[in-house]
Amino acid sequence: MRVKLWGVRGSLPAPLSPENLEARLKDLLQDFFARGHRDASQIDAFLASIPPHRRGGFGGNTACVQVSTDAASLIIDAGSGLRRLGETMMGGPCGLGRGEAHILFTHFHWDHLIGLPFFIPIFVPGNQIHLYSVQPELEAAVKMMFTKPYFPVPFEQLGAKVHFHRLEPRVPAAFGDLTYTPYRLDHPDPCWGFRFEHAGKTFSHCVDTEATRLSPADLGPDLPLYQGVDLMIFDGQYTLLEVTEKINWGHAAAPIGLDLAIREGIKRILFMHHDPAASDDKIADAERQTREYFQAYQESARAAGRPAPSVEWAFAQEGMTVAV
Amino acid sequence: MGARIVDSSGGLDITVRESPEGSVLHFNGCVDERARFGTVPVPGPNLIFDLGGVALINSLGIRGWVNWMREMRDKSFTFRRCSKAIVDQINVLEGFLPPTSFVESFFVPYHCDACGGGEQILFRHGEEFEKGTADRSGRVSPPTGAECPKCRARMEMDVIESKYFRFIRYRR
Repeated sequence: MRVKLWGVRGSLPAPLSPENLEARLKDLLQDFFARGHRDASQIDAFLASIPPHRRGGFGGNTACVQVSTDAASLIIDAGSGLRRLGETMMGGPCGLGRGEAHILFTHFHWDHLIGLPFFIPIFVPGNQIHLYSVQPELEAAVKMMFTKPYFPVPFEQLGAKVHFHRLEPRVPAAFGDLTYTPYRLDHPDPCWGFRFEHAGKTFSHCVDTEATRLSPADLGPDLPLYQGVDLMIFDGQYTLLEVTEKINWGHAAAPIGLDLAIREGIKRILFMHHDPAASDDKIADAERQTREYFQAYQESARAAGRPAPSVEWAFAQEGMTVAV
Repeated sequence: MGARIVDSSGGLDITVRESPEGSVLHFNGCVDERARFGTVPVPGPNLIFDLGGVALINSLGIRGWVNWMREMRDKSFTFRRCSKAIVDQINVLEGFLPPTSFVESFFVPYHCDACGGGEQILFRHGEEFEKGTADRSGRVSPPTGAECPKCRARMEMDVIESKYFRFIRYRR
């Protein structure tokens, strides 16, 4: 199973401004020469030594994740990252009007929808676009997007055939050699995470969530979303301090995901849905704070004779591909 | 003054004792998602938190803790005998301690290289440390010659000092 991240920002796309990009380039160039480099052949090694947030950064497109196996490909959410995914798909059957796309929706906040009108395969006659959600409003929400004056092409004039599918909460659904099950997340409007299973491996997509239900008793029938997972994508929009200030804003912090992972045996986590107001430096600082928190927790756990399993984790960058 | 157990949620025990200096709350166990701070009675304007028994605190407990502190913003807090788990969070999370708080004492782990033993040594405000202010930088004066309780060899601090004592510096 492969998981590719086409968009990892939350709330609003956050492209790097021209002045910030120029400042970053200047900073890198100064650093390059300050280290005594003079030759273009040294560029790759130099860049490899620079932390990611000072190079390409974490990315500015909003939520879009692709889950694939050799036999199946599912997309989670249609944030602005869907545009580039669509461009890639146009290189295959979708470009010939013989393709299909399957998009699961966690919920209908704008950052998880705005890529759909710019998903080129949806305009190509002959393509089959399948859209899925637990919530009943999917068709209404999508048709509203393709309505004047919000978008010049009305839904009825889309080239592809669009199919709407309703998912049963907490009931596994098969798709090729993948099985996925929706579980409820904690967000101001109904939002569903997905647990994917393939060949004995599990991936859980847990965005957007504030994770207000944390104990096994509180999670109840949604606990399996977190149990024994090989890879979890979790909401890390805020720092731990921000989360205590933004109650009911619908998002979590990386340390919360880590503590869930420790308790539930999750092996690896990627944190996404980065705040649009957070610069790459700020996200890197949140990553540093998370590292400090985790190290302190591990030390305390060992001293207290409690389990201190290691969990592999990172803050997600747009373009990352992870094998599960 | 009698003591009462007010919360025994499986992870954390909190006993409350009234004293002339205020309500003293003794914490023992783990501050995690099981902690139910809302059920703890906190009479009076002055609260003393004895945190020597907190073995572990995680983010799920921190969220509840910080919200609880905010609900009591009209009170003053003294934090006494802070365990290493608590000190670590004070250093990592700005806002862990409410603005109206005073750290009276905290534990520093010491290790004996000779026998592998160790001890938690209490650092007290005005003695082993003083918190920094806008006018004065903080001070740490560790006790000289801390001896291992088992073999009497000299022990060393088992922390990275620049990290562990970070909260003693003045934070604007």
